[in-house]
Parts: sequence; structure tokens; C-alpha cells
Amino acid sequence: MVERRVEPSTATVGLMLPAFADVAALTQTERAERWTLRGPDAALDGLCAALGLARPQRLRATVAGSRAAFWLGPDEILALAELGAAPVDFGAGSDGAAVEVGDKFVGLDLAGRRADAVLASHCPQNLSLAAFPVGKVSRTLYAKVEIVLWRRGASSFRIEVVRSFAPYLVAALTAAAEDLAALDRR
Amino acid sequence: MLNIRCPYCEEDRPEIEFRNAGEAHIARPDEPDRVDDRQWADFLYTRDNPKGWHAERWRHVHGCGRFFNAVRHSVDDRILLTYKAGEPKPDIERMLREREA
Ligand SMILES: [Zn+2]
Repeated sequence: MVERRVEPSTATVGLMLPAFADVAALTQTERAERWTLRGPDAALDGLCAALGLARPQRLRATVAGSRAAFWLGPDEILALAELGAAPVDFGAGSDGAAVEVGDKFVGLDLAGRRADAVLASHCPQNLSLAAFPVGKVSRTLYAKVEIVLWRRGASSFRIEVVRSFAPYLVAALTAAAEDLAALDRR
Repeated sequence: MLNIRCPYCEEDRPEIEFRNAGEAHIARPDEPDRVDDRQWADFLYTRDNPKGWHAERWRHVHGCGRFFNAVRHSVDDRILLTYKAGEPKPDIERMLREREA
């Protein structure tokens, strides 16, 4: 079955992305296609394969070119792909589900010297490299909102956040970064 | 803050990622139309509420999303173990004796 193609909206999120470059830089990622993939492992294998991706293991991501799949739970994967590629044929007869959620999330990249500290200000997880190594992905919280956090490097993170929560998240990240910058100046 | 081990993520996670969902191992009657009002009310509302060890459901709501069970002490919040949904209720007394030994 070829998925029905839903064109992601062109509405801007209206995020004010401030510069706190001496602490970390926050940028909004390009608009992307996203899918929530649900089902048992065998079904997820097939759904991921349709995207050219291997099924990610627990709390990890798999990447192929501009596509990525994040393990969110034992039967749940969030997959991302660059906008405008050919429609994905997820195949018929799968006992899994692939739901297009491209506009559900906004992607943010947070990178820089103190990116981990900016996150640790309001994220309850242990973000040390030992506990949260490069390549790990986890759904968690930042202040009051749920996020999907993917560590791409020691000081580089991708955050996926529900679109309507994004302004709050950016404000909270900004406040944390400003606090850290003020501490640095002392 | 409590750290709770999620049996699906296989990690200790901060309590704020979880939500308590009441007493565990409450089985819904197989044939609801064959139980009387008293039994149905018991199923819906009657809970043990012990002072001590308590098997209860938790959900890793801001993590993997899964329901699981935990044996928690209702006075001091110690957690003896967590286990996946569907697994049998552990023998708490025996676990405690083995801990003492
Ligand atoms: Zn979990």
C-alpha cells in the first residue's frame, strides 16, 4: 500500500531563536517528513526497511543518509526523512502501522560548548557521556514538556518536540542558556 | 527524587518520567454479566491500600510509554523490584527473607 501523501503545512512555527552562541547554538531543523511506526519487531523490521533503515535497538537510533529512526518504546519508533523524497511504500499486509506525523513535531539542533549543561538544567536524566552516550535516543522531559532527545555528538543534540510546545521549550532552553552564560561571566 | 527501573528500557529513570496507576494484579472478571453488583463494585473500587509492601502498576509515560509493575513500600517508597506487565506477582515475603539471609 502506498501511503496517502499529506503535504506538511507551510505555516511557520514562529520560533524566536536567540543567539547564545558562547554557550550553545540553537537552530531549527529543516521541515521533515516523520512517521510513527508501531507494531511487533517483525513488522517494525519491514516498516524500517521500507525507509531504507535498520530497526533501531533499545534507546538507540539508526541513520541512513538523511533518514533516521529512533527507538521510543518496545513497539514504537519515530522515523524522520528529508522532505520531498519519493513517497514511501510501506507494503501491504503488515501487522504494523505507519502514521504520517510530519507536522506533529518541530526539530531543534542544540550544539556547542555547554549544550549538555543547557539540557541538564531542566532534563531529569543523567546526561553524562557514560549514561547518555553518543547515538543514544530517549523520550524524556525538558521542564514541563515531553521531548525526544538524540545525542549526535558529545556536545551536539537533536530535540524533537510537539509543535505547539516548541515556543515554551525554546523559552526554557533560552533561560537556561542565559543563566549559564551569566555564571560564566562571573 | 526516586529512581525507578523501567523493565522495558532496562534503566533507572527519574520518577518524574513515570505515573502511578494503582494496585497491580486486579483481574477484570472474564464474564462481567455473570458477576453480581457486589463483585463488580469490588473489582472497580475495592483495593488493599496496605501500609507496607505493595504491588502496583506504573507507566513510563514520558519514556517508552509502557505499563509495568513495581513492588513499592508505601511508607518509605523503597522499591523492591519492577517487572513487566503480564509477569506473575512475585512472592514478596520470600524475596524479603532471601534479602535478610
Ligand atoms: Zn521505559
